[in-house]
Amino acid sequence: MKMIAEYDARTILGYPVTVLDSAYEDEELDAIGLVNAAALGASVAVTRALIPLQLCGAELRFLRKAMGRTGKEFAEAIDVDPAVLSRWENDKQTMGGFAEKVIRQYVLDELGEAAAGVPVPKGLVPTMKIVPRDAADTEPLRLVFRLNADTQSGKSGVYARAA
Amino acid sequence: MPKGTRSGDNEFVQFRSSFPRFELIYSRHALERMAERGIAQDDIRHVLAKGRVVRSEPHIRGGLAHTVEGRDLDDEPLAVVVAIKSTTRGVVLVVTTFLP
Repeated sequence: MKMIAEYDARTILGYPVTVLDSAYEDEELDAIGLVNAAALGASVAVTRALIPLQLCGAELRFLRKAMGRTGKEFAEAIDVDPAVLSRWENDKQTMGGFAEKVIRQYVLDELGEAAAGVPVPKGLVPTMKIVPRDAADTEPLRLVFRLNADTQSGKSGVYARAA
Repeated sequence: MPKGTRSGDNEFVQFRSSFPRFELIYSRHALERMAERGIAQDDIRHVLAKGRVVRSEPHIRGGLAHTVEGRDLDDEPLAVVVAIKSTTRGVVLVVTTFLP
């Protein structure tokens, strides 16, 4: 098994994420894996929910899937029509700021524990000022993550955002 | 009863009961198919957790390859072919994905 120093995990995660020292190649199987991939997915979702830049459709879809929800389940949970959710995810309709905050808080509540390496300040989302983005900008924000190997802190094996 | 071979038919069903948080590794072929179709790990996990094993047959690298059919998180049909690579660590190789 060979560790990969830098790997673009977009295909695996469905979100543009560069992972440092966290992907590996199994040469015998000619296969690629991510260490603790479920925790990485949760960490990416929680991190994106904490960044105030307005969510684009692809980011919303990623957050929903990171929570393991179908469109119908997610729409029901946040009390919107599934057709509206579909339009949000396909950038055919802009989400209001309040809906976006509800979704962000939902992500933090559901995935915060799994994203152990991402600090979640209390009360951040309700007072967050969503930063608008150009309607033509539908590309998700790329993030970089590193697996924390710091056993001293008791947080080894968790993902933290890298610069 | 799924098509395919012998007593291995339920190997994957037993495996996913024992390892609900199994780790996935992806063949290069699977990654190519996933990129083409916009399928990510959460869709694959959803199918593997809730889908039905429809075929179990010998895998080219040993053991059995199981074809699991279900629906992804966009409610689209999806088939995932997997081979169990470690029953101690709970590791599954994703061999390929396709539209059933």
